[in-house]
Amino acid sequence: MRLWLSLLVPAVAIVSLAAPPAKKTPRTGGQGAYFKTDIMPILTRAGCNSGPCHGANAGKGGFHLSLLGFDPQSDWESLTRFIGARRVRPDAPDQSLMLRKAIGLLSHGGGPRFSKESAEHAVLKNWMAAGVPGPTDADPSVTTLTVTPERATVAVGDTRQITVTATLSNGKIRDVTPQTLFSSGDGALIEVTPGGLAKSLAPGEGPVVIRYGGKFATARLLAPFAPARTPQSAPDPLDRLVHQRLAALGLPTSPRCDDVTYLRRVSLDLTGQLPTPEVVRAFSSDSDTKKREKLVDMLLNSESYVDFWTQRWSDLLRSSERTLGKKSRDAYHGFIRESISKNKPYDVFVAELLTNSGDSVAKPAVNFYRAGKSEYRPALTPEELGETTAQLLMGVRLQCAHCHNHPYEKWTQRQYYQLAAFFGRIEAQNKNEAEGEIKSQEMGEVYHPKTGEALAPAALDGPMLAKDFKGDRRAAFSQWLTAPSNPFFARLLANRLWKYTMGRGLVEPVDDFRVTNPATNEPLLKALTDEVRASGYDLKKLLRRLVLTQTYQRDSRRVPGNERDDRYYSRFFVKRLAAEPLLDALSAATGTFEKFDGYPDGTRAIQLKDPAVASMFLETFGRPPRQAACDCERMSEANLGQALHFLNAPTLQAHLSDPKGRLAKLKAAPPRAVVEELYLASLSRLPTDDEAVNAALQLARGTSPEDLLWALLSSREFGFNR
Amino acid sequence: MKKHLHNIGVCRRELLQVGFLGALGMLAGTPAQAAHGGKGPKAKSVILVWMPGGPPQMHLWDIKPGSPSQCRGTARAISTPVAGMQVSYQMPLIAQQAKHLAVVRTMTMGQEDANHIPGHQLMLAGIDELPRTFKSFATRNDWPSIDSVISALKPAQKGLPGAVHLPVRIRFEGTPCPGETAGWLGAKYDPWLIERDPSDPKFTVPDLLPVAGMTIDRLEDRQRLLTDIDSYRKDLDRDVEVRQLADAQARAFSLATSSAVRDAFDLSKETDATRERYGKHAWGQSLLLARRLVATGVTFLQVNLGGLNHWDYHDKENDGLKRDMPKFDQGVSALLEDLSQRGMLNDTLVILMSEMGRNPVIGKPVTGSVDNGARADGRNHWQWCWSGAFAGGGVKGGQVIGQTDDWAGFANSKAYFPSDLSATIFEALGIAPETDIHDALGRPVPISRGHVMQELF
Repeated sequence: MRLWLSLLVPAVAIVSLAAPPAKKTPRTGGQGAYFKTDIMPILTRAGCNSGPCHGANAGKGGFHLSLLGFDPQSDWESLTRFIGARRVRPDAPDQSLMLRKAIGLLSHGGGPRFSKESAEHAVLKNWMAAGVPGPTDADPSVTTLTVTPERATVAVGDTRQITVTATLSNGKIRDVTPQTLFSSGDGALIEVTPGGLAKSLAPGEGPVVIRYGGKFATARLLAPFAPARTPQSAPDPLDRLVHQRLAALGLPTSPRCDDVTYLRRVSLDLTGQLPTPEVVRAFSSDSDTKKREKLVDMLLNSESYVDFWTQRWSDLLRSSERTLGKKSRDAYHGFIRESISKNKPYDVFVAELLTNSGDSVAKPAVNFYRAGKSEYRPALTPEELGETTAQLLMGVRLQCAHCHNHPYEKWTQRQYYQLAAFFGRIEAQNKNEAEGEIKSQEMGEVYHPKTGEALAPAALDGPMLAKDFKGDRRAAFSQWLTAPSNPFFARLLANRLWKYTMGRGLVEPVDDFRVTNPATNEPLLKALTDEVRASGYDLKKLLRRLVLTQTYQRDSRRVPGNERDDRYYSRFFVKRLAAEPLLDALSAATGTFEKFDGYPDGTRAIQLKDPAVASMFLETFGRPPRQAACDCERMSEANLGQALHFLNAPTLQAHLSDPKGRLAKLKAAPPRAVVEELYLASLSRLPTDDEAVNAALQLARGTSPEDLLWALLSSREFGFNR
Repeated sequence: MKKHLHNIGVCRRELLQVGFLGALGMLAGTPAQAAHGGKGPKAKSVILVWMPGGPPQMHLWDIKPGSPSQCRGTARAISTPVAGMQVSYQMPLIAQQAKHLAVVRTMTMGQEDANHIPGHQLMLAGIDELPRTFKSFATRNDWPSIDSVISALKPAQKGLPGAVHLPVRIRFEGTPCPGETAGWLGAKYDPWLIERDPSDPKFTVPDLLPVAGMTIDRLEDRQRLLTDIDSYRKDLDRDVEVRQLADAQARAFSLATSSAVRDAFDLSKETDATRERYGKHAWGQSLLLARRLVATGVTFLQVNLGGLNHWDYHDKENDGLKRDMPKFDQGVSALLEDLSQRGMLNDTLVILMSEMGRNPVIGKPVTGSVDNGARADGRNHWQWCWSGAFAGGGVKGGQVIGQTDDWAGFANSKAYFPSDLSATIFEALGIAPETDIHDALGRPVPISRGHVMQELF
């Protein structure tokens, strides 16, 4: 087949160019087989129209089908119109290329797909004999899929047959299990055969993804870790929902973490900074029963909170000098920082980003439309803006629907461009290298790439704007997005805040909500989403209540029974320190600072405005380039380069041996005091007696305190928030 | 940048292969042994000489003296010691090594212009369609590079990196591009990217050598202290991310304390004559370093001859060729000669490759584009058909594989896709291309969907 393709390379292009416009009305069926609901599912189920096969943009072997069958009309034409219509043979179905290749009588790059005796073969044969009726508007379509069982509790290793029933638009209900495409939504937990026999592989709840006729559904098998238990009680409704989930899964919880662990954890999560040794000592000896609450309030009101969350949002909002120009970048950074500093409600903040007009320095919020643009353009394109807002503000990854209907979601190509149309009337210009202007205008259309139709803006699953709508389309979008009834907006913020505190999103990736990617605890996500709205999108208030939950305060150590839990929050999930907080922690522990070009001495890494500030350390440790509105930009995994950097980098050694640093000040101190101070400064805890004795002994025997501090900074305990 | 977001890995074939090991995107298991037509694997290591930007095939390996001047340009062919095999007059030294070389004139991506960054992801990962999660910058969702898969399936000897890239990293406006990391396979298998010029007299590998005043003994002391400290929270090692750090630390430590690696990077151990023969520039010395590292036991070397757009002659094609070809000719010819004289060529597969070629017609816009990226003295991108060359590692030299049309623009015979390149490299190293690895969703995917380029062997 490959040989074919190479010989036909120019020819393939011609064939697809020569595709006739879809005009001639296809015939309808006589045998009762409808193209959309009988024939297409066979092609999908057999993999014919999958991405690596004929569903590829260029097709395969000169034969192209729309990806997973999103365009029945063009598929019908591909099957019936080209290469002398030899693919289908109404006169002699058994002689058709389609059937002969599918059952292996003719060489086929994809091998045989089904047997001559199969139901698929019979249906296709009848369909051909009936004169290959094509899709018509009168064809029934699928209105709903019913999955049985939708949820079941099983033991690891157990299997369940999943059956799928489709309700058609003509009212008919039928079992479509044999035509359904099944796949595992989580390969670690569950596997499923092409026939829909699902098997639980490990404890947890594994989703099976179900696709039929352009509709999606999931079935879930829950395999408890141990017999279900009674849920632990808790005053907090969010904790109760976590506990209910844990109880059903038979997972015990780890105990509450100790004070110094909590201090370090919450300081890093809210401010990206380590507590100083003095703060650790004071917090340990504080006998106030409300000291954790007091601590959280203090952190939320600190400058470091503002710095840290400004950096986090600047990452997502792609604030960078390279695309915006220095003056605009400074203004945008200032706008974000002020919004965080004033604890501006998140919905107000987003509305300002979406609806402002004017100069990019005087009205810095408009940089939302400029951030991430390519060099010479004055703004992002309507398509880019549709994708960006969908992912960044709604948690919907719409990119696939740029070229074809989304293969894992219900979103259609039409919806993609309807969303883009909200941003189709932006007038943008570059004033100079560092400044631009964004305005709303009354002209500008977004067209459907296949039909050429000018599309009226329509929100995802939302209302369509009237064709003659004269106002600012962006404002209409913003209103819809931030309205209490919007299903996406608050939910995504809830998931983000949960991930930023608890270490793992209820949905992962954090901005990839799909029917086929269910949350690990849906009632919890719903409750938190409601709270996000009820709080008036008050970020500080939400963070405060999250870090004071029992769930957040659990120890990261495992207890017997929850060793294997990595998604239900039976213990605190550790997270690696990101590049900037890690560098700041290193500076704090060594009592030094890192010098950044163009910034005053003592500037911390979380205060940097731009991803381009030269820093070997930050680059090695995966600082995001701020090109995509996606948390995925940050590469947090440890690699060889990072480890070598810790081992041998002259800069790290310079921190350790800085004459003004912590070690220099400890020169005269007795070994035990040195050990305690270094533990406090790096791990934010006192050494155990064994550790203290051992380390002091080593120092007394001539080990350099530098080496001890190096080892502390290289330790797992230092590199992770735990 | 053209957008292309396509999925790979839901093809029926894979869905039928049940039995996930499901270890969080980790590996499937042991690679199947490649069949190799019964001959067995030949190569122990690979040196990929990468020419980013896409040199003009009609000026290097596929000269068309009879073509019109808009195609031919200033190209001229010279003969080589191999009868009937001709190469550019700008490669007089490489021409002398023709007996080692198998030139392939029909590389393709089946499209005119996927552009550089997607081209790098496709060629360096050896896949034919961009993953759904493709971005124009490197992320952990990228498809793993061929060499990272090799690092995973054929672990290097203790204390050695599996793969090393020299002397620059492929970046777009400073930001790393996909194709030079292990992507979703995990940072553990990332190639070691060394962005330093070995021809610089002050060349050192960043962070490889202990800082001044540090001894190996003291490094070992530090390691012992670290082990003590880590023993307090041994439980942390059950977390995947923590294990990754521990793994990386262990490898860094063995690298930093291995004299073999330190010596391999020490070019002063070569005679001046040898260094001169390779050329005292970044390319030549990187190729020499590649030979030294291969001799030490590193499996995969990628020598990037310039950054992302280096060979991207949209204008001033002749100036570009004059700038690049002498260094290329000198370094590559020295590498082939040296490997052959040392008896290393038989088990070292050398590949000269790029992610694209150039439009057969000077100054012609990309088809369908109003925006002409080519000036009157340059050429646009061309991924319908371009050339590369192979030597060593069991490759039968002195042959030309693939015929093109009169303009060196389209294949007139079997063409080879990026996946065929990966299949060929895996096969040469004794790793069966159909070996499965598990992607980030736990789905088993074959390391290559291509066919081994049997004509080479």
